[in-house]
Amino acid sequence: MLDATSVGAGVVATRVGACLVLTLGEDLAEPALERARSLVVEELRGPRVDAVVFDLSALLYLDSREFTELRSLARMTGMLGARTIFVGFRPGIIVHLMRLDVDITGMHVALGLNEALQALGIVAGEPDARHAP
Amino acid sequence: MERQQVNHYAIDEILEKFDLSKADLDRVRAAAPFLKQGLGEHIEDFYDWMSHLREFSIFFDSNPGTLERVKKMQKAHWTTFLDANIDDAWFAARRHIGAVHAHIDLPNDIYFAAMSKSGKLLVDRLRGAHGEIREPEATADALMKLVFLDAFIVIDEIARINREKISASTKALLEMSTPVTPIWEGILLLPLVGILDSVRTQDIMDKTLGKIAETRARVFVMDISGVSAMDTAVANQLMKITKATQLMGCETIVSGLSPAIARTLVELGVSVGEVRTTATLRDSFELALKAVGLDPRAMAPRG
Repeated sequence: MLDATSVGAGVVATRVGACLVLTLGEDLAEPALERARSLVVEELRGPRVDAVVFDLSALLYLDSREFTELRSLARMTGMLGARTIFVGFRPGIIVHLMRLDVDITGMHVALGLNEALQALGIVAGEPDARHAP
Repeated sequence: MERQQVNHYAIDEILEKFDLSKADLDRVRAAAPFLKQGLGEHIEDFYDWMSHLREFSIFFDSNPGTLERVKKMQKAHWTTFLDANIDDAWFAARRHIGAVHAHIDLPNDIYFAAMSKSGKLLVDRLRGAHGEIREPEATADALMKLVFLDAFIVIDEIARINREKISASTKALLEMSTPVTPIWEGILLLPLVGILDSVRTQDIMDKTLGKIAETRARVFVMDISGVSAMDTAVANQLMKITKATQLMGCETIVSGLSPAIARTLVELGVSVGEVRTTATLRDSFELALKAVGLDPRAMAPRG
């Protein structure tokens, strides 16, 4: 069902129906951010994209500048007509971001990919808690 | 906590600290055959002295076999003491004695009085040697210095074990003070009691985020009716927690706001933002059930 379309600079873009799942790597150094930006622009030019999910479950490092860039990217996808959800923030990253006192107003976040796809109305039913990461 | 490994460099250092020269150890070893002969009697004298102490019955009356076993261990201890082979095993054996004494909670006054008495008994025996020992006074000095080193290792281990006990119980107390509990599928509850400083907030955040990931919780109810003081700092800590849970896609509902707290928050100009707050835990629980897609009114009591 999942069909990987694009891999590069540790960023993977996968289409699930009208939803684009952007899976980021361990960090958001400039090549990764740049790659994510161009993927978003590319994919949103193509067949209809209703929503973009940013999957951060592999992300180990995030500083405040990278966080700001990420939010800008999310605002950009919003302006291109797609609902935007973040998933997979690791507890360690969250604690770090709290210390940096970042602004999260207006951010849509779900616990994991399953919850995000549910919220977007793409997947029905509860995920099995035993298989949670 | 890591046990200190006493390597050879450290052994030389500690012998020097206790002023135990190679000559001193040689003197103890030279006197060993003579003193070992009288060990059995020495131990009988020692326990005879001990039996007059008030605490003797606490440690020995309950089980007669205990006294026999302890006498045997004493004999082994003084044998290695007189052999004066100061190596890792020597230190390990004394640390073991410390562990045993810590386990039975032997009071320090008994231990030190006993060591002092043992040392004196050995020195008395030495003085009664009548020519069998070459340098009796120097040997007596060496024996006492070695008794002090021996006692130090034992007491040091007891102190280390007691420190560990304290830190373990502090940790247990901290665990008990922040019970983040799943009270329904997808709903976590934390009744917050006591002070809320930055250290506690960090602990709460760690526990809560972990529990959210573990239980896939979508709502976190934090009841603050037990929080002792509400000021800007505490309010900020609460907001930090709600913000952190948001980044896990989990909504925080704060319950237990008293009218006094509500007034304080308004007066301080604290903005709760989009965080939902209620006066009672019951109301928050109702909101939480709705948030996970359940209708509380449909859960009618059985007729």
